[in-house]
Amino acid sequence: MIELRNLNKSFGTKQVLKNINVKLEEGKCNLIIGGSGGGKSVMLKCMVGLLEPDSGAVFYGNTNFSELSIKQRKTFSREFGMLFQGSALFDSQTVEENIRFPLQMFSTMTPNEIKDRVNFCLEKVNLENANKLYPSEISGGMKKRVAIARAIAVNPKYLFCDEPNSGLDPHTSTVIDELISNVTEEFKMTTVIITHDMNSVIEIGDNIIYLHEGQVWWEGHKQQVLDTTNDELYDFIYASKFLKRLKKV
Amino acid sequence: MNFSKELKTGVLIVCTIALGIYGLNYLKGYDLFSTSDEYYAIYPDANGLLESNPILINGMHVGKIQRINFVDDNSGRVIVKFILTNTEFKIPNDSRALMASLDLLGAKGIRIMPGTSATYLQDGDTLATGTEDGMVDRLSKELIPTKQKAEHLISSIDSTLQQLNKVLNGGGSASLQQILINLSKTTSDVNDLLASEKTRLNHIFANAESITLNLRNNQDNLTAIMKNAALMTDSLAKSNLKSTIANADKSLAELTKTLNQINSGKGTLGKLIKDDTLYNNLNTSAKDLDKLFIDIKEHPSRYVNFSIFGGKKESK
Amino acid sequence: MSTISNYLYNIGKYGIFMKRVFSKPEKWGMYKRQFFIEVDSLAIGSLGIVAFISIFMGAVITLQSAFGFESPWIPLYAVGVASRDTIILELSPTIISLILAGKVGSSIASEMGTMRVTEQLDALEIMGVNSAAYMTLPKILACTIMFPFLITISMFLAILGGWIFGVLSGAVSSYEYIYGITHNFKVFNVYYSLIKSFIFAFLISSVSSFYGYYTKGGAVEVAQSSTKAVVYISVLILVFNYILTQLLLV
Repeated sequence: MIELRNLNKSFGTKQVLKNINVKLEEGKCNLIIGGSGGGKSVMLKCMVGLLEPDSGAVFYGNTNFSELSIKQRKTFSREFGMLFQGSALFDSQTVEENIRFPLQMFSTMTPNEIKDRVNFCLEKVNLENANKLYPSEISGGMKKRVAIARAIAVNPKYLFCDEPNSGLDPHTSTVIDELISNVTEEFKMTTVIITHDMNSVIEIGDNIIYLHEGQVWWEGHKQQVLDTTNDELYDFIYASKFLKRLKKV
Repeated sequence: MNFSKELKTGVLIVCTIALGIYGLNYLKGYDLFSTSDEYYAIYPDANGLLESNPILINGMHVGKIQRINFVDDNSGRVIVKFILTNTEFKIPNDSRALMASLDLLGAKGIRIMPGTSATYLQDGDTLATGTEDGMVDRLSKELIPTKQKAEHLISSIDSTLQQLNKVLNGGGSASLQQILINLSKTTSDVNDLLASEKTRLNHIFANAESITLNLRNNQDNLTAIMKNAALMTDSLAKSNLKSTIANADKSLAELTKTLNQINSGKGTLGKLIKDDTLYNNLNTSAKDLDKLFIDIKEHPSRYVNFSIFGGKKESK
Repeated sequence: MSTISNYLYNIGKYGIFMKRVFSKPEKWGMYKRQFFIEVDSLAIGSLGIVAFISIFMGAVITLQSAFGFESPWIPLYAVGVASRDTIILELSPTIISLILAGKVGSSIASEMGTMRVTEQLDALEIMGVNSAAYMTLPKILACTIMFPFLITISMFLAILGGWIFGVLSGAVSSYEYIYGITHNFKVFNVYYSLIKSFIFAFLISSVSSFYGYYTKGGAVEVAQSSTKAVVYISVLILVFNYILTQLLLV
């Protein structure tokens, strides 16, 4: 379980996160939704330690992550897997090398075990024949899948996804969502997903947090979200005319 | 061809090190790929000679100096090791390695003056040395003593002139004139004397000449005499004269002691000389003997009993 | 005031960055592998340009010296002496380092900048890798170890180039040139210039990594930080050239 307590963060005079108090559930997909500039990415970065919150704390179970030293954080973050918006694959390495990298860096596996693990992860994301390709040679959807494979390679406890389906067609987007959902269930991970794709919200949102102007405006799950009475969330969900029309029907 | 990155790195490092070592040695004056002979020369003074200065034979650049060190014996001399890369010309073994100044700026080098011997130096030999003065060296070498002499001369002339001035100023001119007059008279007297005694002088000189002639003729004899004298003094010096004299000295001292003892009446001899008891005894004995002899003469039968025939006869 | 404090701020930031870079690696094997990758791309990849520039630089310096020394008072072997000393003391270590600053410095800064912008550095951090050390230390080691070798090759080729073109053009005879380059040669000069190239290599790799690492934004900012890196490295090389010359030669 991840818990954020009284988290504040500002850039210059602009306060991006205002006293955030959130609990993220274990073994489930926790979705953070909200408009652009609403502080979603900043919140995620504060959680994984890429940004320092001005005040407040992030708890992983009973561990206060914000109070750990840099060295302890490095060790702790080996339990993190992260899927970046632009996939962030290493350009100079092949798909296989990308997935192998965290294993080589930290695990004590033998080369054969590493090889098996890499193939297992690639199988999980349905990419059996892309081992020797470079990131520049594969499509956006494939890159996302490789990134997921890399993130789950070290068998993390926590998976963070920063807009996993941005820039993908609806079909690929669904595939990615299903993948994330499946691995979360299978490996009992705590998954945190930032998204503004309503399809994901409805499909995989076990726990949904709506962030608006740096504050938590609504919390709930996928069954509740469509029947919300919160005006801002309503506007956010039904911003697309297509959905509005569906709602009326 | 697909080389691993490690292999490429290794090749680059090894090749560069080889290139670096070769280049560095080349610039230092050793060419690793050409054959060269080494020679040595010893000088009392390096005198500005530097490593990599050239070696010349008859104006041809044939090698360079490789190293200059002090000679091991702590004498302060320097040993110059040089290599000849051009070995077409064989160096006769009576050649000399002259330290030379090569240009006006004083750049040094070694000029090998080839000898005439028919045997040649081998790799590792040491050459006889010498110094060849450069233009500047020669000038300064000659100018400096000349200058010192001139300075000395000028100062003595100066003091002489001062003295002269003093003499001339202090009313000395009149006496000087007198001296000159006397001198003139003396010389004319001498002249007269020489004229009158000319024949005798001639005679003296002739005699002197004959003496020296004799001496020269007898030079061999004189030499022999001198040699003998030298020989004699030598053998004298060599003989144990000193210890002999010391022994004699010691003997004399003993003798003196003995004589002293004798004089003081100690010992047998002393008593003999000092004590007249013996004499008196002897004297009495002599007198007694005298008396005995007289008695014997007067009464021989008392003492002599001839028995030629027959038995013993009672004397009475 | 603000510019001075800005410089001091950047120097301090650079110092902290260097402290991160020289912290203990997570796994030596991975750093070693990265080191050889960097050697291949930064040093071996620069061999061609270094060789080309060195040969022509040596040629030009020889011809110019021969042209400048056309006086009966100066012996022609002085051309060799002047070429050798200029090449060893200044041209090879400093000019080649400036050229490498342009080539290697901009490549490091833009590579690191792009990795920052595309969140690859963040990805490393999330994995628990010290991204500053993992990306920079192999580059610094590759440069500081290999650049002295490049400079050695450069000296060799520049002197060789001077000989080839000097003799071909008739500016100086082979004998005089060779006599000149071996005349009164000081080995320390070579060590001095290798020390210089070592320090320049450190400046090139660390400063360009620094500017690349702290890039913010997108493509324009990547371009800006790589330009900034090359400019600052060039200035630093010239300043350190003066300081080192003063310390080591005077």
